[in-house]
Amino acid sequence: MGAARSGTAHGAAERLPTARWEALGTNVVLRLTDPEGMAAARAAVQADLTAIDTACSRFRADSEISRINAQASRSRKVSALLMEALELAIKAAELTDGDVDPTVGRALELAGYDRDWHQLAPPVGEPERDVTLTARVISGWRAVTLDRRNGTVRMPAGITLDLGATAKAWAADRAAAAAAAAAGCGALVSIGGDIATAGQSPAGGWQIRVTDDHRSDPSAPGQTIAIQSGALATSSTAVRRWSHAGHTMHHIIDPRTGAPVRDTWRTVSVAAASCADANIATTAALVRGARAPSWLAEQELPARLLDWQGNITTVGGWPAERALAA
Amino acid sequence: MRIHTTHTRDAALRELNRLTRWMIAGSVVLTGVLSDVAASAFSGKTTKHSAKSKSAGTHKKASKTSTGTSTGVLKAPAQTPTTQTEEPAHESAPKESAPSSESAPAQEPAPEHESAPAQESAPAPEAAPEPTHEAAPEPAPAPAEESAPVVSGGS
Repeated sequence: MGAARSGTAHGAAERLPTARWEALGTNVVLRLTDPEGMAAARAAVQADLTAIDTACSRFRADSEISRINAQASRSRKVSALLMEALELAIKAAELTDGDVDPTVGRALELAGYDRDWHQLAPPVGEPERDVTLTARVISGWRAVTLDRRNGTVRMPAGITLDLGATAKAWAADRAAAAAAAAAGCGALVSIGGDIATAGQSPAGGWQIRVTDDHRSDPSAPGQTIAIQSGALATSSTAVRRWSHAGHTMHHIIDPRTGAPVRDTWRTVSVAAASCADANIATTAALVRGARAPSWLAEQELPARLLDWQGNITTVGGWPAERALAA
Repeated sequence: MRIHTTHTRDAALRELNRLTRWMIAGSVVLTGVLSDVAASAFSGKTTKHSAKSKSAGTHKKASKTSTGTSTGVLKAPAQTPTTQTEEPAHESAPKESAPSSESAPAQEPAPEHESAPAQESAPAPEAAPEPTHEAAPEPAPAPAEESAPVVSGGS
């Protein structure tokens, strides 16, 4: 490993080769334990993200999932990549008893989230705690039929699939594995703040700052932790907000109401073996509201939940925060 | 007459025996066919609770789909995260937090302050870079060496 060590404001963190770019409509960070493999790792990650974007992006008219959404009620052949993404989305719904539902696409469209978020009208004024919709669609993941043997998907007309709750984290898992394999060293990949690792971690572990917004500076309010392996995801209702029909909306939909969830939690971070599992848990926690801490504890997942009053709740062995020495 | 009656009875018993065997075989086949039809026609419901969700009180309902890599539970990390000994300088004001009944906060008597929502950095969509859906081939600049933590936040 060619990385030098240096003490920093964040502890004795190593200086590690890091590349940043944009994909899937968000920021990508690739960090390795060895700079020699960066070119190969980046190429592998970019290739995989391009394939995932082509298969799973709801905002691309030419994507596979857009074609399926446009022709619901018919059995459609899908690629192995999209089938894997759909299977994960259905798994998420099963494991969360429907709190994370891939069929909330229509509800998101009704909430005004019908194009890439960066193209939406920014929220006006202070965020509203509660948001309302006059038109709502109740989703239903059980209506989606996947035939793995024949590689087909079928769902009733009127359903729009959205893989936003799972695909990005799943992409991070795949990208980290691809980067580690290509570079032959430890790798961390962050896609929009959903972080996956693979291979050997650096001394002291992978340093991660959990905060509201993944685009924040590492000194933003939050907590710095280290993970030796696995993944970490953070979801927040404070970040991806926009104005629609006079209301401030956000992207976490309660499948039972078809409306953005009422904000019990502002930001939830969860560590898990995979980024997909971590992000399933963070999304479900935002939907579950006050029931989230006990549910996360039952799942034995380390988690940190920040409410709108600034209070922090931790479960599952999430490390306590330490104040600086005076 | 007596011999004839015995012979007739034996023949009838043999016939009955053969008929019974055919009926049993037919029942087995019919049961299999009907089971297959029913399995294809109706969604299943998993009533077995996983170890980690035994107290959740909810069924994990299965659709007709196979879930591929599904393990039935959300997997915890092999190791829990660890905290860092130093924090950025401006996040030092302790404030009462509301730890749950879980163990981690209880072990830490002075949890760190989290700034009030209004004081936290608000998202600035207009300042965000334009989305690039396609990972267009980019010149790969030499990677920077960084020691700052990677940020995990909402997106």
